[in-house]
Amino acid sequence: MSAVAQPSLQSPTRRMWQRFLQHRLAVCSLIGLVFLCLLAISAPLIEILLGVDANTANLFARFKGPSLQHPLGTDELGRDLLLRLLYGGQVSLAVGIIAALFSAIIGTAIGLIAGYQGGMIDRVLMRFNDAVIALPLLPLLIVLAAVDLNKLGLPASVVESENVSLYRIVVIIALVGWNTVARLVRAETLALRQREFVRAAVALGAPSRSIILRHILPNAVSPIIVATTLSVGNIILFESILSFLGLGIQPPTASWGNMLTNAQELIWSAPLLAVWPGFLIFITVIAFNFLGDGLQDALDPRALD
Amino acid sequence: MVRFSVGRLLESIVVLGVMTFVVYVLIGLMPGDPIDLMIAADPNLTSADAARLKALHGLDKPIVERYWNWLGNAVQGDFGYSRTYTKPVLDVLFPRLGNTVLLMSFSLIFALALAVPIGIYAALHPYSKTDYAINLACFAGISIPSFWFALLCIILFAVFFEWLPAGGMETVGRGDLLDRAQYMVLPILVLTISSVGSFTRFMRASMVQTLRQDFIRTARAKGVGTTRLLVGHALRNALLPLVTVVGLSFGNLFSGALITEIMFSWLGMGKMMYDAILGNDFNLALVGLLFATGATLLGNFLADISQVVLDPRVSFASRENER
Repeated sequence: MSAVAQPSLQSPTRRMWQRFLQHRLAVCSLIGLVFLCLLAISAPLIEILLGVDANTANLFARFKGPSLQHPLGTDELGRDLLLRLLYGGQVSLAVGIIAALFSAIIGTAIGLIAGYQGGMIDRVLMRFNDAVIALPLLPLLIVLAAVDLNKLGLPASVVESENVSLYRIVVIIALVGWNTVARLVRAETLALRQREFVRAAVALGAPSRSIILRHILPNAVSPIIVATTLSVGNIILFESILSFLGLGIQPPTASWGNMLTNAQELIWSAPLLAVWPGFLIFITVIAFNFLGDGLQDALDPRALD
Repeated sequence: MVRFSVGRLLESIVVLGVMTFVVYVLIGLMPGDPIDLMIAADPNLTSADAARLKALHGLDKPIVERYWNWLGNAVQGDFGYSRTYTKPVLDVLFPRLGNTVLLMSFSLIFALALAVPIGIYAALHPYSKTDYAINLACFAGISIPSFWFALLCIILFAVFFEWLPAGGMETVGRGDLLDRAQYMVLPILVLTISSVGSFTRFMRASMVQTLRQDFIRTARAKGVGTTRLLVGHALRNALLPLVTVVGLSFGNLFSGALITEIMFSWLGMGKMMYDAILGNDFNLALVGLLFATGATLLGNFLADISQVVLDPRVSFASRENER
């Protein structure tokens, strides 16, 4: 049963899946990302298998080359590089995915409200959106990352908790990252609002809430998925820059960005330390970008050129 | 046209105005305050002195009132003194701005000089092996973390081959044109790579779309030569969206310049802002950030206007109905 001969027999999902499979780079990226995630999650297991602890410094074993016990060698404090990379990967991937989900939720809510309500609310929200897009993102993120949480009046239990740098980076990225999704969802909502089934629901007296959630949102899912996938890559880039500058994830918690901070000072003595973390950031970001591109081809064939 | 431009300009000014407040509050939320820093530096200061100093500089007042005072001075051109440089803020800012503009304009020129021909080539050979390779390279350029790329360049060209300096502006005691050019090579390379990918993809997409239009087919049917067709008919139209994209990429370019300047110790505005934020130089950080915002807004404004000016098909009326 070939795709050309009997297209009508195929379900839309199946056709989507086939279009996705045609984008070979996206398929490779998906496999690579799943593999990387599994590897990062299984870091504790690998720790046990190798019989080394990821965070224990051993100053007698600094800058060791690859060996059976340390497959990628050791860093400037004698910690196992492979394990640090995997634990760092957990943090970088988690921040990227969670922050992307949060921005998608904020963006979807704003886009739905603006598109459905229209009028003054729409105008104000979209001007606000334009303004956020117009901001120089990195300088702003640096300021946000430097804000003193004590001055915000947050409870001490939050400010002094171990993972505060993780929460903070997710929050600040979600705060400035919602605008692409908002713009796309608004456009989709505006188009859907004119469609017969939505107008029929309005005529039947369905409440706005159920029209938005039942009829509009499910039909606006494609652009949300594509934009969110593409934004994961960007967020990982921003997280790594902030962590690299010492404003993101704080050591001793490893992230790919802050592993490069130390490596930068050691480029004369141990240049290889600078290669691995950056390479993983690069591979992850490019994979998310290819995946987003493939999903766009699969879910939104109109956008094909 | 005038109505549209003025409206759009007013909008940008309002956004900038709101941003001054937001940034002022954010900077105020950064750790430490100037007087605390003075106390830390000078143990002879008593708490009475500190209170007097705070009153003198208005730091005992609520933030809204302080903002209002600052704004009043700012519109008269007085942005205060930089704490770390002990000079008026603008005297610190302008030389730094010059260095950033130098870096940004060179890399913008190089990025466009690469993106336009490569994008056109890819558009003329869609779905070929070369097109595929170009697409791959574009994605690589977009996805590579620029600070890591900078590190690799330093390791390769400065540490390993020792061809180029690892960072700075000029060799002390030399500083002639050739010497300074050597210091610019790597920063410009890194900044160019970070923007060339998306420009190329835009150029390709826009060219593919243009080539599909009726007037191209008509021109071809009339027997217009390939070169003439591409340069005279297609390119002029395909470049329009690119102009907009370049205008909109100002903010990204600033972000890229910031990280590149930090990596190569290039004394530009990005590095100045970063040092000011980390060094609690409030006035300088504030003005740097507002300046970057202003420049980005200006880029977006010019992108909007140029679209209408360059393309008669886009009327001002239709642009206004859209909004």
